[in-house]
Amino acid sequence: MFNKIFIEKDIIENQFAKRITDSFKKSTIIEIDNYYDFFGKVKKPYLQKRDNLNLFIANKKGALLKEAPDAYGLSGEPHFYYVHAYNCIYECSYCYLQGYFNSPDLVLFVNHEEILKAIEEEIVKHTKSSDKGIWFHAGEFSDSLALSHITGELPLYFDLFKKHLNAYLELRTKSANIKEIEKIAPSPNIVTSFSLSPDERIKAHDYKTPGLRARLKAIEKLHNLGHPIGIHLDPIIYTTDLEDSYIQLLDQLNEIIPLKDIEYISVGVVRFTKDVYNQVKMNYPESEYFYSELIKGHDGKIKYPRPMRHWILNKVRHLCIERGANADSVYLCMED
Amino acid sequence: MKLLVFAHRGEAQTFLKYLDVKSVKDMNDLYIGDEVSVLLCGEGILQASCKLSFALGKLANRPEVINMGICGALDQDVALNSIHHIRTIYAEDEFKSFSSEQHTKIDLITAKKRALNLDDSKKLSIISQLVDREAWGLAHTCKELGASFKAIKLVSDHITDAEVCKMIKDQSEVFSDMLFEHYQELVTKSEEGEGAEDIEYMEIFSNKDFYLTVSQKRQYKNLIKAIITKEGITEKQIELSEFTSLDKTPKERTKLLLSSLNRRLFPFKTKIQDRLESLTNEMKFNGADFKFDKNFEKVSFNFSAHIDSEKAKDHMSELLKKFSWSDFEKVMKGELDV
Repeated sequence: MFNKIFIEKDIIENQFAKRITDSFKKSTIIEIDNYYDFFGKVKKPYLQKRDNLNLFIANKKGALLKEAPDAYGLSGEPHFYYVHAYNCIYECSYCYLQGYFNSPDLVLFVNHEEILKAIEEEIVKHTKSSDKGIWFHAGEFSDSLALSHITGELPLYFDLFKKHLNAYLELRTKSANIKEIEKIAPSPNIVTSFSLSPDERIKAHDYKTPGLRARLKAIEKLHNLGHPIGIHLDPIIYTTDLEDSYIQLLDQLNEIIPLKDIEYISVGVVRFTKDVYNQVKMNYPESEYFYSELIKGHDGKIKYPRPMRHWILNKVRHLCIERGANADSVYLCMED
Repeated sequence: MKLLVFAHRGEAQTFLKYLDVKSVKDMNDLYIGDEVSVLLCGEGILQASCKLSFALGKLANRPEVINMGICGALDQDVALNSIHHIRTIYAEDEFKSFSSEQHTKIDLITAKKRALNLDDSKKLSIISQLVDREAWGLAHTCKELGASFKAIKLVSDHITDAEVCKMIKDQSEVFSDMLFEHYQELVTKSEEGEGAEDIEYMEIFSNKDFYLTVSQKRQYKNLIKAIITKEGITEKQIELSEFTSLDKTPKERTKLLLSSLNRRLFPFKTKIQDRLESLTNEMKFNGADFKFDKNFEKVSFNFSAHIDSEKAKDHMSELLKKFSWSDFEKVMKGELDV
């Protein structure tokens, strides 16, 4: 999977680092002082991840927690994300990571104790001043579960959040890799959220990810084990059969988990910053985005025209509610 | 027109022998021919970049620049004497990289110094499999000047602590022969491919039933290209007969055709447009003009009307009163029958 593995000298004995290197015994391992001396120092084209992907195992330096942007999760409660990794093994054509780092190489951070300490401090601080919940999200810069059987940190996170039931953890994924979570007892405040699209859309845009059936099966298993489930219908890419394809998707989902039992369903349409759009153009010049109805908005973002965005969001929201989802649990990811 | 760029005369010797090129009076190391020219750019990023800039200034037409030459291998698995089309070119301590070939898996880094030892090699091998002394400077210059660029490299040695420069110099004729042979193969392949020239869009441009201005031609090409990609069809499958049979002038037919293609490509936007038209039809019929945001982003519009009498003013005023702002807002909020 990885061309080369680079590991910071200081963490060679770290239990999580060892676990990772043990999983890739065939890869060349190179010791380095600091991943930052190499990662992103030269502009490595994104698509080289297909055949020239390196892995860095490192300690996360600097801020371990960041406030999440607006429209992140249900409103009214503070949201933070923690960074456990940079980049992703998957290759989604719309992914903003294409324009984010200067390299597609994967960085896995292994100083989980420090990340957990930062999370706990934030929970304690929040609890003193508010009786509302507080949210923490994994997967802002990487998939939360795709490599979780190799990275092995999930039990620690579950232990912490089980101590603080007013704090919520969201593990966001496109994978069907639930091997690790299956082993852990569920907690009402730890939500595993799956990004879903109609199967044809997954095949057309979510390269190297598990198909819809595998993701649904994973959802079913976790739901039956009592794990809270979240769903992200984001990004929606318009097709003339959009309504039918989402009816089919939601009906399939409803069969394995009643929509009313889903903690939240987010709905969002595909959108790009100018930089990411240019990267997509370079990486996927034949993509349907370039003959679609996307426009450049006044804010410089590439998106569907306002009436179209609203139509798509409201239509899909309505389909969810029509099939039993609680109106309060369906939220729209929109900037206007 | 191609400009073949080599670092040293040794690498270029076979090319200079067999290609019909002549030296230039006021620039050493540039040899110009009708189809192909040759430049000896020297070693190092700065030297290579300066020489290429000057050479491009001397050539009348912007050529396709091809850097050919030998390089070292940082990866022991890359075979000696193998020839590679480079995918991405990096430089030591430089952030920028330049990609040209997407179908190969070999990258190259341009090093700052000539003699590399194993430690240098280890550091550079993190980035690429091959190393040279000039490609990045050439690629950078081409990028700045808008010339197309590619690099084709022959692996002369694996980087070790051993002194190999002399040995490489002794073999330069052999290396040059191999590069020349590879170049000839490329030229043959490219000549074979030239017969299949793109004849798309030609049919309508010579069709007397239509008249397209320069900008309409561009618009037509873009629309057709998008529809062909979207629907997986050929241009021939786009039916023109419904337009040719119309009792209209060629200019009018062209306008209708372009409008129809637009509607076909952007069905949702068409629905929005149609709905807005239906809200404003009556006023437009009476001489008013509505301008909506072309991307339908702004919830506002411009309205203008030509008023030439009290009666006309009252009439337009009555019509404007009938215009439903809430219906307009509904459209902008996506309340459409799609």
